[in-house]
Amino acid sequence: MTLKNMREGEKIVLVVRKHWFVLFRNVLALVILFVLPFLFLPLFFGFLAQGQTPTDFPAGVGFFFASFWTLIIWNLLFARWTDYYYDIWIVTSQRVIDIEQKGFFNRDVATLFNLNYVQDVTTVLTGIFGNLLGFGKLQVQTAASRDEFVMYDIADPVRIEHEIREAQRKYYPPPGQGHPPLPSE
Amino acid sequence: MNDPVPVPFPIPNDPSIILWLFFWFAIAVTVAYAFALLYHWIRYAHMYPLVWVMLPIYLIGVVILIGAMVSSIAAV
Repeated sequence: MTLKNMREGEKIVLVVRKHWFVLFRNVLALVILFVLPFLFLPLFFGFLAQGQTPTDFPAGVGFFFASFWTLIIWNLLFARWTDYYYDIWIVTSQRVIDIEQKGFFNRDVATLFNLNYVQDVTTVLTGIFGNLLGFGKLQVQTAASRDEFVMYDIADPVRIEHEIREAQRKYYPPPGQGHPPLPSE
Repeated sequence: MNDPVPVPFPIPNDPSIILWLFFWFAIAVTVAYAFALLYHWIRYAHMYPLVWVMLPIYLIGVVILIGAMVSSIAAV
């Protein structure tokens, strides 16, 4: 991955995405939405017929509406995927960048915090699926004015916490244990 | 003798008129989505390489589904 507006000497350490279950949840909702008309329309027309022969539609009408509905869901499916795929956090040697895609034409890119400001990192796995599949939120306490940052629904937050601490130790070691590179603010 | 039950709302003699309305609605929605998706995919492709896999899958699906709609209108 390449990133525009990198600082001098900055290197990408890690790219973090939301857990695949977040995408699965959205896709499952679309799948349910997709099958609903196929389940309920035959029931609806059967109800209208009230035990008699249902009204015959011309050949192709059913196929047309099946294609129509599939096309709508197809568009929504790729929009959901884009929303999921474009939401990332990038841990670099100097900072953590949050890139959030909010629907279309609303893309928020922000530096969450600089690594040298990190004071404490905690992870929380919530819910049944969060514990079973190992995803949850990661909270970072910093020394900056905005003091806490939260990354929600990320995969393997314990590993991410470890990586952030490692990057901090490597690039911003405690005084007397090395010479950290100076970030160009 | 089971006779077909009349539907309780008026249907034009030529049902393809209704189908064309739905068709153009679907085309308008698809054009909007395709523009937004392709714009984002191509613009940020340097950061998200998987879009080059999804792009042809999406477009092929759109072409097949629009083709299916047109052919089913022709069959009416």
